[in-house]
Amino acid sequence: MEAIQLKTVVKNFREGEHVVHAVNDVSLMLEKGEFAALAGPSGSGKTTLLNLTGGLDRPDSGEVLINGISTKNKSDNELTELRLRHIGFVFQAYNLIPVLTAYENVQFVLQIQGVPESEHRGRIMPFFRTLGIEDLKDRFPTQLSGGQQQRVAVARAVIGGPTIILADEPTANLDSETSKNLLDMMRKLNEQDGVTFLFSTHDPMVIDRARRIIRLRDGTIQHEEFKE
Amino acid sequence: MLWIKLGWRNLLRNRRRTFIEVLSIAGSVLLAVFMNNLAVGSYDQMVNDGVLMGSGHIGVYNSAYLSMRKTELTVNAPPLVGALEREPSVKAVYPRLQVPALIRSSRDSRNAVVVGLDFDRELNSNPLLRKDKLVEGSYPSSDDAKEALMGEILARELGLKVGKKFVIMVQGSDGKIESSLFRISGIIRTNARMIDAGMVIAPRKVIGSVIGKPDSAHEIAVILYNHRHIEKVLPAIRAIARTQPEADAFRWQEAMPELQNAIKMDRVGFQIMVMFMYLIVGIGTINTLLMSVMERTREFGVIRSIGLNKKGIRKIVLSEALVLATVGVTLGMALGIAVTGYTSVKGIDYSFILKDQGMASTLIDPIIYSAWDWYSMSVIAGGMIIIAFAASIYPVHYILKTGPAEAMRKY
Repeated sequence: MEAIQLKTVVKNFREGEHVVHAVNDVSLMLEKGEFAALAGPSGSGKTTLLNLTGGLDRPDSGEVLINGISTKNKSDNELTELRLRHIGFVFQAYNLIPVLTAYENVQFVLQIQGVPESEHRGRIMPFFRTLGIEDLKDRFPTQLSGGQQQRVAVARAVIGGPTIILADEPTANLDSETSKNLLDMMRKLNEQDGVTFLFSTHDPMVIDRARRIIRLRDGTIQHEEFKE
Repeated sequence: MLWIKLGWRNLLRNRRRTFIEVLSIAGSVLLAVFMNNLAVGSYDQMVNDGVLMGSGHIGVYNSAYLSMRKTELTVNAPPLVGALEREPSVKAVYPRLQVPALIRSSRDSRNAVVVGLDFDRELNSNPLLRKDKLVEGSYPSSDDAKEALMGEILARELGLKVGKKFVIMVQGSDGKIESSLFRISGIIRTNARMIDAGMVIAPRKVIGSVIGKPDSAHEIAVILYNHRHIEKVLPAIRAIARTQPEADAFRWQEAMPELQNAIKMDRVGFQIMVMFMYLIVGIGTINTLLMSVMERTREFGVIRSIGLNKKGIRKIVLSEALVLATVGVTLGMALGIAVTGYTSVKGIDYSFILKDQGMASTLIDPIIYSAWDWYSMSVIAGGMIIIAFAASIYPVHYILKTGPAEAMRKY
């Protein structure tokens, strides 16, 4: 089964009198376990396409399917539930909840999912150890470096057991060493657990590691590259 | 607990704003609690004094007297008084006459009300006969003496002093004009003009003789041990009253409607004031929550993207409202209890503004003591919590109308 399927998806934005064709008749299919990147210049539609894939936005026409489930005609709550169970997000600006500690930010997802509190520690700490942030669990985001925050964000994205991770410019605010480490961890998750990754990125480091690169320009797919 | 934790910590992001809002809520609760308890205390005092001066908790009257107030509409006091005194719930029984009269001195004459009462019964209970009201002279020497207390202003206008004689002219029960000579035994000053300028107090039996009905009473005031037992005791009192065909028993609210109405009007006025106060606090709370939510539009977009649905978003905002209200109400209630505790013992002296201490046919004690009205206090607290919840409705609507992608894109 395809993890992600987009069928002739269109998304326009109105800016005053002007209509911007952010995504223009895009069809795309990602198999389970793919490690793919959407690449292109600013304004090419990468983030919009990612948002449509994750159900954060609705296409003006076309259809998006996540693990075979169509998002068409789904209510806001149904889309939210779909994201909660199937999709993890990693954002450029980390977007951790500032009033929760690193541990609580990750725990938040488990609480929304209704996982019993007795299981939280057992599920969170292994991820923290894998990501090398187990000593930072009681710190607030303002007490963490960019790289540390992004690792917490990755932990938050994967803790709920999603089958798909959507990462929007995850290395944009990180130095190269930190970016490398982060990408290696994500690659490990992909290879070990079969989690499908779709990045939106400018970063050559990300593009270099992706096994499939989807090049966008002006809201359309220009071409794709596959690596072994 | 997650929601409460989030609510509390989100409020602490802007401590100054949260502190001001908490103070606003606390101040409103304090004001409402204190003013309510002071008002209830004043009502209790008014009712207590009114009941002692007036109809009692239950009053026995000639059935037509309350509506017509005619001198001849009396009841035969001795058998009723005896039977009432034997009732276990009854603490005291005060038979009285109230006769409109012309008071004449050698200098002048004035209209007044002559109150005939049994001094030996009422000396230690009737607010009119309290020692601090007697500014000159003494009480009548016996219940058979032709002596009277007179209001200070009335005495001055008639040019009378203690020991001087005056004439009481009344319409007797047979319709004829009767007059009798009395001596002033004492002067009273109540600071209530209706009493000081318009009342003479004399022994009931003597006044009864003047109107031609020595054993009569216009009013038999029945004082109970517990004012909460009025409804329970009323049937028995009524049965005793109706042993005389023309007599009946009435609750104080029926016998003194002006007092009841004065209390009701004041209560309604207070409730309207509290409503407006809560409305203002509600608007302030909406503003606080809305500003807090608007500053976090992007954050809410992220939270929705990771899987928190609309109900969860509502819980976050509601939890902030709940924390705000709980802290504010707790603080306000604690202060309200402290102030009520102090004023319930020390009282507040209103004599500097209360020039006339008469109202609704009763005396107002200028020193008002707060009472403990726990029911209203809980309604005040609960009402503020509800206001806070209601204030969260618009901020929730605001944040939910923006989709998660738009929230993260624009803000």
